[in-house]
Amino acid sequence: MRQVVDYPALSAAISACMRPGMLTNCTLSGEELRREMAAGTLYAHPWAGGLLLFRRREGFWRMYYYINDPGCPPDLPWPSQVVTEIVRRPRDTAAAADLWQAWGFVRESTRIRMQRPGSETGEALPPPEAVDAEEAMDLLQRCFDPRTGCLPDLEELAANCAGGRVLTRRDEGGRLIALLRAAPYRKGWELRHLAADPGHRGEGLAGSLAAEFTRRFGEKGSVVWVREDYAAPRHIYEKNGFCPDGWTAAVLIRKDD
Amino acid sequence: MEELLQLLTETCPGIDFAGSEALIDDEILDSLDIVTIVSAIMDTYGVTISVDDLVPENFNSVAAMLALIQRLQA
Repeated sequence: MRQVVDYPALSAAISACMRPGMLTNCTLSGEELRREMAAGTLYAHPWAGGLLLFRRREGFWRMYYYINDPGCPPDLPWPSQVVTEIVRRPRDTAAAADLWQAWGFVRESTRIRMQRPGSETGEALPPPEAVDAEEAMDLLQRCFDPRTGCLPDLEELAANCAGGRVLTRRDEGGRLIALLRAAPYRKGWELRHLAADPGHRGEGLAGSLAAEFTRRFGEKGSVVWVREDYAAPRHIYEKNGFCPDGWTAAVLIRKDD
Repeated sequence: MEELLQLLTETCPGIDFAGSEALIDDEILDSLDIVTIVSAIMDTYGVTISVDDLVPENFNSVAAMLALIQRLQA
């Protein structure tokens, strides 16, 4: 695979893949691709069966695909630690996750999407506590696997913090021990991260943050992705009015050679 | 317009394309639908749609999609 340095050539390669029956998990916009290319972290691998895109991250690669010929596996010297995520809507019939598992990937986890309709909140709350983005990032990094945790970059997190979209809990010494991060999603909100310091789990912090989220943001509809096998957070979301909507996502990691 | 409407209905069954002017904004179509629609339009109309064309304004209505096709054919 090669680093992408020519955006028009990349755009043309993607357009060439856009044929009926194509399988893809890539919904990156042109702006996102250009930004990634400018950062020097975008790589591509065209092959007879389609096109792969990779975003280089600290210690792993995030992969996106355009497959035109499922009978033709990609031919490349695979880098180590390749992660991809495949969303499946209720109406989708193609099972791209099965294909990638046949091509050497293993399913790390399955996420389900849960939705909460908007509702009257009836409360005017004071603005949430201001939180420093680096402090918030430190907690997120302690709580999530960087490969699969969909962590924001510091710039995005700083914007969330400045916009009052990060709710927090601190211990008696003032140390940040739990947070909830929300971001706009279509006409409502997406609850992006709910994190409690491993040393403070079971204390009701996540539940109280989710309840605060519904009070602050619940007037509009919201969505959250949660691991299918994580019963505790699912229960918290259900308790706050979220229900599975049939969307799922397979998180796949390539077995290293 | 009718031809495009038929193509869209065959590509994404169950979606009321004719009845909405805000297919994206009203969350009737999602980004994966757009990719599917783009593939069908490129195949049928022989136009090349680039990544930069994949913005909500171009897919919010049948009229907007038709305008995109006509712009690319010009």
